[in-house]
Amino acid sequence: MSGIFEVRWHGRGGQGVVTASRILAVAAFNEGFVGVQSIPWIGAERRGAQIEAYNRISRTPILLHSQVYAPDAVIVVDPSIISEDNNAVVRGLKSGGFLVINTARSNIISSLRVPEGCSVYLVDATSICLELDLQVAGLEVLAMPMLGAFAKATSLVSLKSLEESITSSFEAELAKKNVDAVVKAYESTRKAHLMPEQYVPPVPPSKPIRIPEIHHWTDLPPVPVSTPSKGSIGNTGDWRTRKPVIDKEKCNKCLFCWMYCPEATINIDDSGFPQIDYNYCKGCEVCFNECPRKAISMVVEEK
Amino acid sequence: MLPGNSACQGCGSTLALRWVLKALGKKTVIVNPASCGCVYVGLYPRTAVSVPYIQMAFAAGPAAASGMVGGLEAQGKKDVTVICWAGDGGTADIGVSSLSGSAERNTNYIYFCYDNEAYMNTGTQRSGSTPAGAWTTTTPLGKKESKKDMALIMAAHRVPYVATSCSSYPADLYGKTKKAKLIQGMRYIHILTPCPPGWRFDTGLAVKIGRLAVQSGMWLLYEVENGVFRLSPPSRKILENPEKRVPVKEYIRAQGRFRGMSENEITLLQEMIDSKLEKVAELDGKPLFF
Repeated sequence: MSGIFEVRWHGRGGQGVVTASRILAVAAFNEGFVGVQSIPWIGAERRGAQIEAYNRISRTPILLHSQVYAPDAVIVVDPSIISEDNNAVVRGLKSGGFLVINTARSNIISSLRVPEGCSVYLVDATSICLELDLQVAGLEVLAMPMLGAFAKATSLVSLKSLEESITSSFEAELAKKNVDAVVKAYESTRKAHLMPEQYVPPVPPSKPIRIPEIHHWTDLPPVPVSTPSKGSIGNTGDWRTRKPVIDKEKCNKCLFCWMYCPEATINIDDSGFPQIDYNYCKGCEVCFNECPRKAISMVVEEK
Repeated sequence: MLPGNSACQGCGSTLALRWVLKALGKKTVIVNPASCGCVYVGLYPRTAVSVPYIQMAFAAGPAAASGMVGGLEAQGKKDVTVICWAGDGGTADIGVSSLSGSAERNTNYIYFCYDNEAYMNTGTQRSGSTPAGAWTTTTPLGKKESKKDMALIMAAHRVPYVATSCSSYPADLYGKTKKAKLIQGMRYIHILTPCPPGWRFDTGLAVKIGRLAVQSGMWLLYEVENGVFRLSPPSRKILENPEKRVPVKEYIRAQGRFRGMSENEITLLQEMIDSKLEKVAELDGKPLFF
């Protein structure tokens, strides 16, 4: 390998992407690479929000400190990001690069479009996490097994240096769990064979926005004004795993649930009963805890 | 306040904003310096509040509100209420100079500080308003300094109306906002809003934790009207009936952010709260400053 090897991670907040990127940098350093970097990129710090992380690995010290725009390898921790926008994942990926995907949902592979000459590697990180019970706050740490898959795909770092790096960042018991996940992923990673039509010309990296020169106030663009609307961020009902259900037999129309709902999703219907708007209810359980007559129960959502 | 905004589940400050807007009505303009509020009110092209709303730089909220008040006055519009909705970081740390300036000029607007006791929007960093002993990412062993008392600082500016409230008491918040709307000059309302991700508790307990804060005496609800200090009913109740007072340990142990506090420290905190309540009982109904 000559020059700088650049890696981009795609995942969601809470999946351990930033931690895994840091572990990869330490592992590469243990491997003998002199220049290593790990850079997180986070918009709003919120669980479930899309995030990216970057790594640079080089034999010589690195003087570049920007985000990665033209990666040699892309690691996709959450496959739903590909189904949302294929180009967002492969943008800037060099032809001949590596794409490592967590295939919890295999149906996305057939619709995948990658730059010519890329090799695609698949690993089922979700099952590995579920099997080893690798969770933090109820969320699977999907990024850990992806380290093993990355090592297998690129042969850039060895399992041994990954193991050293993990042992130095976690306590003994937790480290073992993580090492197991990495080893398991290393063994189960396989190369995908795509159809010829799935290879497309490389997607150019996104360019910075140019600000036009302004000489007079009439050159200014029209002021952007937002309009009030329900669901300003989408149907937030997708966030919940359990939904509140009101038992009208027990309800005495005290409307405490309506008063305390932080989301304003509880309305009052014509007969005076509270009514929940399930399109936007985030399932925070405040109404369930505040109902004085225990008329609200939480039911596991079927999806 | 419309549903489907991007606030976290169980957010105390959306609950507070909902009741503030209910009390103020349609003829309101919100100025919002950088905070969680900027996120949950929404991204272009949609917003989650149905009144005019302006996002401002961190330190410039009260300055922008002053400009807005001046503009409305020049147009002769007298029935519009201007409010500034800011977080505790934007109030106690970064925005305090322009806030103090607008209080000194007695600009005719209402300033709301929703206090979630740290910089929650950027992932829980310590602010001047974080209580002692609380974990944040920048105080991993617990904060050593005590909380800055913004409401009393504002009262010392001799503004016509200062009040504290809590999102778990919507009726109290609604009443104080209604009252503030009728007063001319600078008004300041400080609202304690529990934050499930930052305070480390289950989302469903968001209202209960706020109630525990008031019932234990950790957070006092009061008004300072023209310099006269008066406790609000929820706080007066625990003063008059000490048996209804909840030990502060219950409030502390219900949250993950205080897990570094030892039993000794909690006993000490309990003693501090007891002596604070004694002093407050003497002050009730009397002028606060000489």
